[in-house]
Parts: sequence; structure tokens; C-alpha cells
Amino acid sequence: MTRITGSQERVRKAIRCETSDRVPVALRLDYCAARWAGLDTQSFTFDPEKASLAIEWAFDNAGGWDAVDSTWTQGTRFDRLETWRTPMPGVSLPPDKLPEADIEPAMIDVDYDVAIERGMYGLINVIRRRFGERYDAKLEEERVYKGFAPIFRYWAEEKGAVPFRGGMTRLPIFQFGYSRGWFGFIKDLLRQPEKVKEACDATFNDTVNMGEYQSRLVGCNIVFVPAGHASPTFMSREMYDQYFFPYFREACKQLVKDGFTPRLHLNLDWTPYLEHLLELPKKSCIVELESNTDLKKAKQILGGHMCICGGVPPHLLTRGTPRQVQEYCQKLISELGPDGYILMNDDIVPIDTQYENVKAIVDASKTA
Amino acid sequence: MVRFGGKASLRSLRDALIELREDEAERLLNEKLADGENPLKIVEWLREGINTIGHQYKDGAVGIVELGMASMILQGCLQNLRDWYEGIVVPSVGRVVIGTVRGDRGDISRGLVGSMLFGAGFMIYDLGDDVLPERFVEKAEEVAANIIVLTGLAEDSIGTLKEAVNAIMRSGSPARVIVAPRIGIDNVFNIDDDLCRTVQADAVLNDLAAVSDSALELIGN
Repeated sequence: MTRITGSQERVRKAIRCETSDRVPVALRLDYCAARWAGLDTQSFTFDPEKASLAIEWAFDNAGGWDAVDSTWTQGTRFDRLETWRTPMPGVSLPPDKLPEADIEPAMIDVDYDVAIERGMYGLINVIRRRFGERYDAKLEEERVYKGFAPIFRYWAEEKGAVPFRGGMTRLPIFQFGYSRGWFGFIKDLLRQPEKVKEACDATFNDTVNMGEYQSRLVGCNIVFVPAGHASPTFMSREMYDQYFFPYFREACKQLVKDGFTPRLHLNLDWTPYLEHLLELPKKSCIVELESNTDLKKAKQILGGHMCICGGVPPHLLTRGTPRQVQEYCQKLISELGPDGYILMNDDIVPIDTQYENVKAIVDASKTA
Repeated sequence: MVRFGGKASLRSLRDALIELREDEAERLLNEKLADGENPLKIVEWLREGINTIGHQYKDGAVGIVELGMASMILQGCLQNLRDWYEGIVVPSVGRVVIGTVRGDRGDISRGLVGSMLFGAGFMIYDLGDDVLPERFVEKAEEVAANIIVLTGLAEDSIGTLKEAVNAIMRSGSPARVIVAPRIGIDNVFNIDDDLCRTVQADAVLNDLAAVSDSALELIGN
């Protein structure tokens, strides 16, 4: 029988909007952990084991926390599975430079027909083969995620933590957005909106299945569902209703029905749309909100329905003192806890964060 | 020859832009150009259209995606106008030089900010991306710019933004400097107060909605 650790029980109870001995902590560390551990960015990006070791250094020195975001997967995923090129350290950038946000898209406007005929895996194959590769998306996905599995097992069984994401369900509209790049995406919405919609319909099931399959391969049932493009900052309500929410709602329902926990990554300000989350399955999802959203209002609306995580802003981690961080976190805990809340940083801990500030997040939870 | 309905057609052009009907905007523009319509009048109506979208964005009725779509239609129309009327000089409330800083290719913000400032009445000189600090200074002098807008998205772009601001200040340029919001394909990356103080531009903006008013304020409008 697999033992269930205190951390794992804490996170499960938070998802079910129940109270446990304390509010659990989740942290998403990437290149900051590399820096603290003396690891160069190229190694962190392309060597999942070394990346995991860097995060483990932070984990052990902080006395451990409850949920660890599996950022050891990201470089490999970007390199082997995505449909665009990102300038990467040691490849097109110097070894110690950070990957750039500049995406070099590889999907062309006629590829929507490929998506419609052959689904998302078919589209990925066509695009990756443009890079000059002999490529099979399904085989590559299996190979990559099976490669990650030992690290996930280690964190769950040896460290007793919860890996905070297994696979990913990236909804079609976002997959197309990244694959086409900003200007291509805008053109498509202007010039062939019906085709975009048809392609969303045709590839939706694949995107849900991908999240489930990847999660099964690594033995973690939390499926990451990113939705940054759909915030009111980015999209009108009309576009949100047409290209996003129906798919989002259906994906969450399907994932929960199949035994997975959707982790909904809603960056920027989602305050106007918080009520919509009440349409998602009760006590079965984690919604990751940032400090841009009115978190107190989120608790008023979602309390008892959905677990909230997030809330520690990046500027506090880079500019504040450990004491300020701890006090801020204790305030979050008192306002958003004790049930249905996981204390977490917004998005990613910035690279120039002092380690002591991250430790202060962990200490806040343990002393609150 | 008496021309009927000329104003109505230009209004329709403006509306096509606001309602993101690209094909219709192109058709109406070509009709007006073939009709010999005054290009400055066309620009006025396009300006009104993009300014309306800018206000819709401020009110939360549209998002960055729709602003991007309108910006694309506008740029198509302006390019078409330039093809017909080379050297067209448009009256403006001021002149803006805009570019993405050295080593950076984050250009989502640049297009959106340029369009919003055009809507607010400015003449825009876009230097593109990966712009050296001295190039901002040169162009600002060449066109007697009132404002220089810097954009940059990379995680280490704060350093290059600061470098560009310092170069402009050292040159003695009278142009005011704005650092534009940092907009990625799925996120807006805020520059916090401490970094704003470090960069020391005349304005460091985290919100697209503030761009036009900030620019107008800086030139005393």
C-alpha cells in the first residue's frame, strides 16, 4: 500500500475544500533554483535530473514544502514536443542566458485544414517535420513523459511531496496562438475565424486526451490547464464565449470524470469571470490565480466550491524582505484559508529572488 | 461634379475598422482612393476608428487580441495610403519615435502602442526591433520627436531599457521618454515601482490603457 504523506493529504484536503493541520504550500521554481544551486541555465533547461536536483536543494534547505511544480520538464518539453522554436541557452543563445519569450512560429495559415483532417497529433507531426525531423508526436510524447516518470516517483515516494502537475491540456485556441505567433494568430482570427473554430472543434478531444495520457505516464493525476490568453485583458467577452469557455468547461468536466484534477492556470486579472468557475465540477479543481485578481472576492465566490492557489506577487519576492514576505503570506492564509487554499507564488518565482524570501513563504505556512 | 455620400463612406470606413471587418475596410479605402478623396480626410477617419477601439479597450469591452486585429487593419490601410500618396504628411499633435530595445524582439507592445498613439493624434516613426540606443537619439533628432517610446520583453530587458533611457538623457534630447507595457503572447509582465525608479524614464507604463493619456500629458495637451 502506498503511504500517503502529510503533504499529500494536505493537498488532497485543500482540493476538496477541507481543513487540515495547516494550509499547504506549493512553489513553482525554475531558473532561480538553478542559480541558488550553482547550475547553469542550459543544464537546467535540458537535463531534467539536474533541474530536479536544483529544486531539491531549495526544498531540503527550506525544510520541505507540500507541492512541487514539475519545472524539470519544461526545457525538454519545449525542445521535443512544441510546435514553435524558442531561443534556448546552449543552442541559439549562450549557455547561461535565459530562454527568450520570443516565439518563432512554425504553423502556417493552411495548417488548420491539417488540424481538421488529422487532429492535434497530425498537426504537430506536420509542423515538426518542417524542422527537418522524422517525427511521430505520439511516440515522442510517450518517450519524453516516460523519461520524466522516475523523477516524479522520486518526489512522491522519497520526498513525500506532491508533484503539482503531471500532463498538460492546452486548449486548441492557445495551441494555435502559440504555433502561429502573435501576428499569424491575429490574421487568422480576422481572415478565417470559421476555420479556426472548426479546427478547435476537431482537435479538442486530442488536447484533453494528451493531458490525461501524459499524467498517466508520470503517475501524477494533476493536469495543468493554462488559460492566459482568455483573460479579459487579452480577449473580449464575445471571443471568450466563442473560442474558450465552452471548451474549458467541457475539458474540466471530462478530466474530473476520468479521475484527474485540473489545475487551472489563470494569470492576469480574472475578477470579472470568477462566477463562471462555479460551472466547473465542485471540489475537484485547483484554480491558480495571481495577485492581479481580487483574491478576497475569489474566496467569497469560490469558497467551498473550488480550491484557490497563488497570491504571492513576484515583486515582493525580488524586492521585499523575508519578514515582509512572511507577513504577507500570513495575511493571505488568514484571508483565503484555512480550507480550500494552497499558498503559492504567482506564476514563476523570478530568477533574481533571494532564497530567503522563498523560505519565508514556507515558514509562513508552518508558523501560521 | 457634386459628390454625394462622401462623408458617409468615410464613416463606413471608420466603422469597418471599429468592427474589425478587414475586407470591407480595404474595399472602402480603395474606393475612396480611386474617387480621389483627400488622403488627410481618410487618415482622420482612420484615426477616429482606432481611437474608438482604444477607448473600448480602456472600458474593458475589447482585449489585446481585438486591439491587435484593429491595429493590423489600420496598418494595412495606412500602407495602402502611402502606396497611393507617397510622402503624405499628416497633421499631428506630436511626433513619436518607437522601437524595441537592443537585443530584444518583443514587438507585440510596439504595434499596439503605435496604433493607440496614432489614434490619439501622434505621427509615428517605428524603428522596429533590436534598436541600438544611439539610433533612438538619431531618429528623434531627425524628426524632432516629442516622445520616444521604448519597448522590451525579454527577462533581462530592464537593463537594456535603462541603457536606452540613459543614452537618450545623456544626449540632451528634448524628447520625453516612455517605457511601454511589456506584453507577451499570453501575459503582461509588470515593471514594479522599484524598477520604475531604476529605469528613470518620464513614464513607465504597465497598462496599455494609460498610453495615450500619458503621452498627451507629457507634451502638455
